[in-house]
Amino acid sequence: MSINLRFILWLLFIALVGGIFYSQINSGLKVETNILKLLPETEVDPFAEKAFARFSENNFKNVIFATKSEQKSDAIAGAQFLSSKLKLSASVHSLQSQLSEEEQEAVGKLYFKHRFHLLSNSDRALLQNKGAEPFTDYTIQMAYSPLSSQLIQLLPQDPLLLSYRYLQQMSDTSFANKSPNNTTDHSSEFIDDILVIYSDGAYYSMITATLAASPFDSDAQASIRQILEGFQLNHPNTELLFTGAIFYAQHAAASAKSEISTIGLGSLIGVILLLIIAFRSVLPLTLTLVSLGVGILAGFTAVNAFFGSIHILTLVFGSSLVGVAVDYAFHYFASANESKRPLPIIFGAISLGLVSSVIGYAALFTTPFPGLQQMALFCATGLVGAYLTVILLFDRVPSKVQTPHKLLLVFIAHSRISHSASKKPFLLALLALPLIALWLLMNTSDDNDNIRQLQSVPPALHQQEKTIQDLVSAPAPNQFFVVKGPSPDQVLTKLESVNDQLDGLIAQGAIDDYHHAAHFVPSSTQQESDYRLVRRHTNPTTLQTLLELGLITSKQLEKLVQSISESQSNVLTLNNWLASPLGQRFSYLWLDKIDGEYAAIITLHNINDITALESLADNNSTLYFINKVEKVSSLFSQYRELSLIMLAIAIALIMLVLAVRYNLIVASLIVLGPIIAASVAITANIVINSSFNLFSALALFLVFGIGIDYGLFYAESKKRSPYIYLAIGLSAMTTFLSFGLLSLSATPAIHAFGLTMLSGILTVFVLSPILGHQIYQAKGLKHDSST
Amino acid sequence: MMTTLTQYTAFLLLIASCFIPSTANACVDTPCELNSIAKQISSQPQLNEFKQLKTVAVLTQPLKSSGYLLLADNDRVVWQTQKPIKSTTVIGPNSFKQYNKQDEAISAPANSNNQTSQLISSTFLSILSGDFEELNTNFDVIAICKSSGWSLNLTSTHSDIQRVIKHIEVSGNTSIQRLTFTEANGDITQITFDTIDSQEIHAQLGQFLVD
Repeated sequence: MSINLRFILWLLFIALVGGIFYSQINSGLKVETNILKLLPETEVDPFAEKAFARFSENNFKNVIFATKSEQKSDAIAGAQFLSSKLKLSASVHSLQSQLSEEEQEAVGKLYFKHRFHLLSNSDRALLQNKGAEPFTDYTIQMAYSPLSSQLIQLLPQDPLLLSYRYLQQMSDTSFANKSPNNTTDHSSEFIDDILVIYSDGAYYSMITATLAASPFDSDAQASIRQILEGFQLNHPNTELLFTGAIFYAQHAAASAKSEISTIGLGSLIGVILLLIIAFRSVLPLTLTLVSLGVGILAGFTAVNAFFGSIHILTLVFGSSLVGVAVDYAFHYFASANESKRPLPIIFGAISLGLVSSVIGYAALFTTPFPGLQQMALFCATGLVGAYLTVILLFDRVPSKVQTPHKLLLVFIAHSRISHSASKKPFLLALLALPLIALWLLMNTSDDNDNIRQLQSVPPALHQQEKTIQDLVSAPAPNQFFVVKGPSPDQVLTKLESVNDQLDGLIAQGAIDDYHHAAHFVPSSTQQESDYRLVRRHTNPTTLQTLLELGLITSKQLEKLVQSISESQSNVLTLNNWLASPLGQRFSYLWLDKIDGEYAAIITLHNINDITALESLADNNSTLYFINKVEKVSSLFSQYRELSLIMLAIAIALIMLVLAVRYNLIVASLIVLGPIIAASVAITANIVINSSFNLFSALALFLVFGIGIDYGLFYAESKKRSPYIYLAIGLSAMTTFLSFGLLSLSATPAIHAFGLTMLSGILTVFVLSPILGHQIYQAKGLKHDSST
Repeated sequence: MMTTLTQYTAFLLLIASCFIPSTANACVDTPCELNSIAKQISSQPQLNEFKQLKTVAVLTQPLKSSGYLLLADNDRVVWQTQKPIKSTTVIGPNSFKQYNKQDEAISAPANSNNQTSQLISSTFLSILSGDFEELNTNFDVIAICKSSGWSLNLTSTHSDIQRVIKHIEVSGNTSIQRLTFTEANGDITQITFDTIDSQEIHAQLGQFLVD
């Protein structure tokens, strides 16, 4: 193919990619920072997956603040200042507050209307076992207390105070601050709508806010941060604690951004320096940078086109691509030292290299793991872009390069030393390494396959979250039960049926508390049976004392009995409740319709024993336990095992291809390098991090891809050439640089990835000339005599 | 009707008393300091007998009740109604417990988190324990000292309290003798106190303070 034709093809390629990129810019590029978007669906049941999505969407928007001071007034003043700022912010949808007077009245009216149908569990038992007497006693006690006129007014219509009692127990279960250390030095009260908690010698004022936008929205993050900074300026003596998904998201986004710039910029500077030193000319530098630019553009555009957005961790990971994509250019210019037309010399090697890398990434892409798919697509298309630039563009701009002799001598010296090590006993000794790695793998616990690998969590933030959780009992965001049924009423019945077991969990200390919608709206079956009970116990005999004391007249009683019999069908419905101010506050308990079925959740507070929850769900077909963290972790473990198996299969396939093209010995020698390198990398991970996780396993794919490239350069060469050492040496250096920087990442997953790459590529680099000599020998090439 | 009549009678009595010439000028109100009153009643005896008369608009007859009140050292009070039915309430700075006629704890109204009931029980506690300074936070307090004793007139400034209480009158000399609540809807609760000395009743009420 002529040089000009190739150039036109390259221009067409650039025009295509550029055009798509341009249209993406116009429609708005989206950088995603929500780590959940990287995760695969963890639930086998799509219903559960949707239930989690619906719940977490709400829950992620919650933010809890606590102002802490030894002075009560400071803590309150701080909270008032903060809440006034939060109320003004466009990023805050609302602040959680006590029910207002009007709202309390509306709720009171709703429950009063349905009073004959509503009994709390304890009141039901009381009425069944002891009749109306405890109720009338309580009514008298209340009526004779000093401030009771409002209750007395209720008596003609509700002499047993059923509506009052139901509302009281409901607010007791739903609003009470049940703290684990409910001792005398821990107390709480409401002051002007602000919950003030006294604990361990300090006062905490709590504010709960709901964000208007997603916690991953960078504008929301900035505006909340601004409010926090403003607070600290105004209240230097009041400590501010906060927790919520937004703060973790903010930290993760900030650290990812700084890593993209360090890793990307670091490897870029390294590449530029190496190119200047090695080829002493501006043209190779410019061309290499062009190939890198095209690669990154292609990767970025492809991911955006395919996924609709690009995740920030893909960019972090992708920025290390620089170190791999530059290899094709290095080989080109290394060969340009000895030939005016270097492309034919290296074409086979870099094409096979690309194919083997793409095979590796394609394997990654087949995992049902959106994060890995993005990274695989980014790298594969990035490499294709860089490769196409090398083969289509580079010949169009002929460049003369002259690598300094001294530099070559360094690589040749390396080759010489390697040659002396290239003995059979040494090679056989190397085979012990895979055995060691395998033994270590078998004996390492895999508890590090965790969602937290994807997020760097600053200890201060984690500590604040714990402090706040100790103060207020917030529902656990990632663990809860889901109950579903064909109608809302059946869901409520199911919720009621598990009360005893859930109370059992509290009794055994597995959880501190739980909430569900049936606490507020009993099922219609329950309400009808309670109605019959109430009706049986409301008559002149049971209300005798009240009649005697004049708290109710016989006329009123007659009317009451009449109205009870008329209100038989007056059941409180779920929709009535959801529309009430109380229902609006607790709407997250009701997931409504998912895939044709109704669903509700049971929130769990302060979980102390996960296995108790799991075994309850296992033994109870109504309960579905959702445990996102645990599911993700076990999924990571599965994928780690799966990816190691896939890698073994890929090696076997590559081995087969190579054996056909060369022979079994050459093929074994090419594959041996990466296998040893992988063993070293596994060992390094286990020794340094005492774990080998999914992300290290994934890095092995790259170690293999690059390692096989190095072997191929030897296998493909027609003669022994020092320029192969040069190309491999330069390539290895840029890889060290970019992945070495990756191992500095604060995100554990990326750190593990970088460490694996660093140790793996270093091993491949050291081994490649040693194995290269063997490959030359196997192919019958004479020892290098060019120097 | 009843309410208006009671108020009217009370007013008449007050007017009348001003026309009776007396040794001390009882009708010249002397504003006085809250803490001077508090000092006077620091000798407040621990055990009281009380009689309560509630005049409720919707009821044809007033509600009469009686019982005992124990003021404990650690800012807690035990309020025990004996008639018409025995019931006991223990109020502390952060606690509110109720017991039925069998002295069994009633768990029903755990409303310590309800802002209004919290405010009201702390007001009640402040009055009974003579901790009048506290009242300034949520009430306009007018204190009047006379030779025969003192009286406090409290008008709520806090909207949550206003929803329940219109005003409170407290009067006494070396101890609180009379307490009148006027509720938001005009219903009136009058409580009179008499100090008593009975080891037996003291011990009986004291049992409720043992956790």
